Amino acid sequence: MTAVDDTEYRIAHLRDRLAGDEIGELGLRIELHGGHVAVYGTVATEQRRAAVERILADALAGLAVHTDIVLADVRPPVTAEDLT
Amino acid sequence: MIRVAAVGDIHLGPDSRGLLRPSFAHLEDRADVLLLAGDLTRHGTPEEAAVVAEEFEGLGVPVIAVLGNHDYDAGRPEEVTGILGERGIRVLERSATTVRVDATLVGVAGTKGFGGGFAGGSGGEFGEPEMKAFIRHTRTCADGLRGALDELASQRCDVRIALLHFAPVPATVAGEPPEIYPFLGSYLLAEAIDEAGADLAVHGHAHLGTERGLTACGVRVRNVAQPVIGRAYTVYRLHRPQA
Repeated sequence: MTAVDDTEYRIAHLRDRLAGDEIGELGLRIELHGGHVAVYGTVATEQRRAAVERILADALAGLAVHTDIVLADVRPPVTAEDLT
Repeated sequence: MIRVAAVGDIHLGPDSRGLLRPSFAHLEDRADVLLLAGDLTRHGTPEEAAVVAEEFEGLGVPVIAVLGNHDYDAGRPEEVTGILGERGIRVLERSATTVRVDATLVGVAGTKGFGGGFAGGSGGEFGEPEMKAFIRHTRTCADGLRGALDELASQRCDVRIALLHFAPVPATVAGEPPEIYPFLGSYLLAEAIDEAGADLAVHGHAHLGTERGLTACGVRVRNVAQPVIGRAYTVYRLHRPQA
């Protein structure tokens, strides 16, 4: 072994950084698949998505990162659930 | 029939000012009460709380909230509660409030709740002081919720709703990584709901969870975290059995 693979530690520290940053994003799913990192979730605004992507690029530099972060759908509901 | 609108985990801040308000226009045509299930802000600062207050004041229906863990992050939950209260948003913590809808008295008992895990995979008050304090906080929240629901029963409420941020059952956190379940909720909350009785329990916190679940005694549980319901809010129509 020539180098320590620290990817899983970097992902763990990334979670701390996302929570501690001004955006306070704790609700994202971050998964490691082989050498690829996938990030899923919903954020409230375009600014926060951009901030998350900035932090990801910095914290996971050198890794293949796939982001699938969508903006929250804040339209009113079209139906209601009946609880009888 | 009582129409309950609910949403949690909206995480508002200055960058989202005015984002939700348009979707709550004419809410009174769709709902009798709005419940906010915690994590109303990102870090619980007074500036963020002011945005929440602006978004939800004067909606035409009573607005009842609990705070979430994000709302405690800045260490100023009392200020957040005060800012919301000044704008007519009732913030519950181990307490209850009532709303009259025509001839029906609706009671809402609320607590933030806390973690610890669910039956078969839960922590206990054992070992280090830190661990004891963790579980003791959950127990305090659960005991407060039980007391608040009992108080609503003594007021002869026709409908009783438990409002939480943390989850009372594992069914509605399904979809989250199993490793973090102990940080998402506690069976102690469900036990309190079942012992005191309720018609519905609403919570948030688990963004990757599932909307629908049930307690061991058959109380419906709904995870209304905004990413779960995928809309500005959701509406439950509670039909009372005919007397």
